[in-house]
Amino acid sequence: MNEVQRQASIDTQPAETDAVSRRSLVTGGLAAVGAVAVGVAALGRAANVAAAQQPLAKQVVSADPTLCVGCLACEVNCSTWHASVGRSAEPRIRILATPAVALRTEVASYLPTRAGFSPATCKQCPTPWCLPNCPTDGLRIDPATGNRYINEAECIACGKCEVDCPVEWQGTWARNGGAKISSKRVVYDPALNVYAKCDLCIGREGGPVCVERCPVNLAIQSGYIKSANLCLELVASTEEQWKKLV
Amino acid sequence: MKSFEHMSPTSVQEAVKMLSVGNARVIAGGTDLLGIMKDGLLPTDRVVDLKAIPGLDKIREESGELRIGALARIGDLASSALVQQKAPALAAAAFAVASPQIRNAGTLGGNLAQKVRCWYYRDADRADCYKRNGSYCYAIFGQSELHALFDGAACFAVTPSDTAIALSALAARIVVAGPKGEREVGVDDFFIGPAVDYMREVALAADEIIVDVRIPSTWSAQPSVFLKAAPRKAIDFARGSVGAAVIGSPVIQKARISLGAVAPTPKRATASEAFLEGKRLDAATIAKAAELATEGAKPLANNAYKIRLTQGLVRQALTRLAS
Repeated sequence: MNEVQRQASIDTQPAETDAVSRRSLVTGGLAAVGAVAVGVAALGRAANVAAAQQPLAKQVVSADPTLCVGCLACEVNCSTWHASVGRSAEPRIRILATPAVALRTEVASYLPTRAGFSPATCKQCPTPWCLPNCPTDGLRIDPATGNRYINEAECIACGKCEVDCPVEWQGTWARNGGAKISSKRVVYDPALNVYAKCDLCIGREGGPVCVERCPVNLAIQSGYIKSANLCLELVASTEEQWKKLV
Repeated sequence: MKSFEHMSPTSVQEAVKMLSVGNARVIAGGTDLLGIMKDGLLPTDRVVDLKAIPGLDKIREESGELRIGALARIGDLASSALVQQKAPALAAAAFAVASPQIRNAGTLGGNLAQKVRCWYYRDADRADCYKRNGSYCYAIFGQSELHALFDGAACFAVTPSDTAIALSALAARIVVAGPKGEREVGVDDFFIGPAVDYMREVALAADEIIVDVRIPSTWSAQPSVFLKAAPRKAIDFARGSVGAAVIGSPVIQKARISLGAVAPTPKRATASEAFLEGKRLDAATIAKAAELATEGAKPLANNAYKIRLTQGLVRQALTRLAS
């Protein structure tokens, strides 16, 4: 199965069989709270309760702004890989312009003027608030990895996930002169009229493309730059970790 | 060099049809394409030669606009009395290109659509460069003397074309022909940065060709200049260049300033342009406009010199326009 076929199989996977979606949350949630009234609001509340009980994602992309030189390779690679498998080309990871952030000496000795950038992406919230109010089966939790992801084939661009997303971009985007088209970590793609967010490159061999191809990561891994941690790395997703993420 | 098929269409439509198959490339002067093919940078199975298409090399005035066919030779642009009169910056940029031999072979269309000169991209051993469909940019932690101050995104190679900088200052429009007919693109939209697509420098599909370049009457015949700095006076690519044009004297109504060799595309100095509106070109104004031109520059390890270089070029260009 090639990359595009593998992605297609993820997109066509029926929500009710395996992946967690609003539908399964509502059903499960109703059972959990023992609700009798079946109004829309009740359904929503039931789903919210159930959202809090979802398994954690196994991993999340963590960024260290003191190592980021703002080369935008993560954004470009995110865009290119997702487009290559037929998904939105909107970058799900963004470099934010954060002038207060200083570079660590090990990197600053090579690129002294390229400080003030912070990569940020979806934090794979332990309680996925974006999920319960999705009116289709667009937002899902992958049963194998716990990844919170958007099945773009089902997305009707209603924007509820963006409203419900609790995490704002802390600063302006470094690209496009700082123009933002979304305020939250779920971003709108006007080209395809869908919402997109970090799916940890679900189905990609080698894991998230941003982590694999970050030039700073490669410089650290090859020993060129000395650092105990990477600029972008995969860490276990926990409540504690969530609070530390940029 | 690998063997390839050579085709000589006699009309634009025929050329476009021939380009829709496989790895077809356009050749006109061939000054860039042959080097690319020898180095194996772009897979090429078919070369479509535009030189047999009649009428594509005309330099003329039509509907008040200066219009230049894509096959007009760079040397002809440099020596054309019409271009010198209507678009002095373009004539100067054409004269600054390479050497007499290359100017006599190379065409305007080819100069606009040429591939970048990043030394890592052109190095046969760097097959994992982004522009070669790879996944790494050597310039970020490597030798970055040639690279971008602005708008680098994964790839940091800069636009190599001199004529593009002059045309950007002159608000030119590029006419592109494809299977669905012709379309016009503003020069600032014609060049695309790596954040949009790092494999391409210009917004041309594989089966599209540049057929005409048009400079609107608003900007033709206005004072305009082009200046270029490079280690060698000839046969060299710019380390910095500036195209500038102004409407209004002595008080400037509108200015267009475009910077070369500092970004993946011609970089408009929009802060300087806005600052100059409604002002006279005195020494203090020129100095401030030059300073504003490089606002927001983020140099890599070895290219910070381009900031002072570019500011100096802007200062010189505006001083010339003032006189």
